[in-house]
Amino acid sequence: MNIIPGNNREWSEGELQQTLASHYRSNLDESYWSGLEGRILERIRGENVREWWSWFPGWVRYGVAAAAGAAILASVATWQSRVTQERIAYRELLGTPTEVPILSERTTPVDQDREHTLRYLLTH
Amino acid sequence: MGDAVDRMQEHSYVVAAQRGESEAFAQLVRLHQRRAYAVARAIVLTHEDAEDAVQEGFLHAYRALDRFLPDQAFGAWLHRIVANAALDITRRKKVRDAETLADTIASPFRDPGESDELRRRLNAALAALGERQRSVIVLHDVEGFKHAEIGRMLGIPEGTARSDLHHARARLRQALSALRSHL
Repeated sequence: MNIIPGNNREWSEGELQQTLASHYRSNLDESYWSGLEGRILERIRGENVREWWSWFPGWVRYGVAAAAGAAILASVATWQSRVTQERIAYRELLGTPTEVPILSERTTPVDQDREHTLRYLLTH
Repeated sequence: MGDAVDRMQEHSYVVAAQRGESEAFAQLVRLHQRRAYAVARAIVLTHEDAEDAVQEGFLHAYRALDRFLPDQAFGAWLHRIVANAALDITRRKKVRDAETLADTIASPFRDPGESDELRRRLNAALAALGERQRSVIVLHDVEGFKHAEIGRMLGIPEGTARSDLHHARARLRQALSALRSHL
């Protein structure tokens, strides 16, 4: 494009459009476009942008997420229960014995009633 | 007839890409990358930024592909995404561009017989327009988009696109009035 000094006359719409079109005219060749295509696809492959859940339709995704949440809660509950049971078993096995079998004579209210009856019979 | 066939082919590529066929998405890239580049180039100031915007745009489109309704026009949807990516780039680079812009505009007018001079003046004038007016005039006058399409792409009302075009032309004419093109 050649330009010559102007006389401060306004450019016509056509002149302006042609100048802009010429300015923006792409001189990019075929090799550039095939290269750009490769770079775009490489970025898509490289970033692994299609996460596994995106393959499910929207409502299935919510269902999968809810099921996963429930499974996690169930796992946590099972784990806590097992830990508690193991702790109790450990205490029973290794903890200080709290009940030592002792031979002791205990008097119960029934024994006391019998004794009173016997004393009454002997003394009367 | 040809357009209808193209639309059907594009529709089949979109559906296949949504099923996860990477070759179908590659076909969509092949079909749309030039126009997507033109959209991005209208918004940003450099070729490098335009390419970045195109890459980002296709990446976003791929991520959002399952939300795209295949009966819509894929090109219009993609152009909106690419335009957004390009606008993000211009916003990120605004401060730096403002610094280089000041230098460009300050360049004295020396030899109007050199085409470089017109290019430099045009670059400075386009940069001085601001991203929206520049995008509108290039998308309309160079790429041939309609006001409504430009409005949808840039997220502005059609009337705003129309008035932006009017103001952009006036400002470019004023900036270039010291020169005369001889095409």
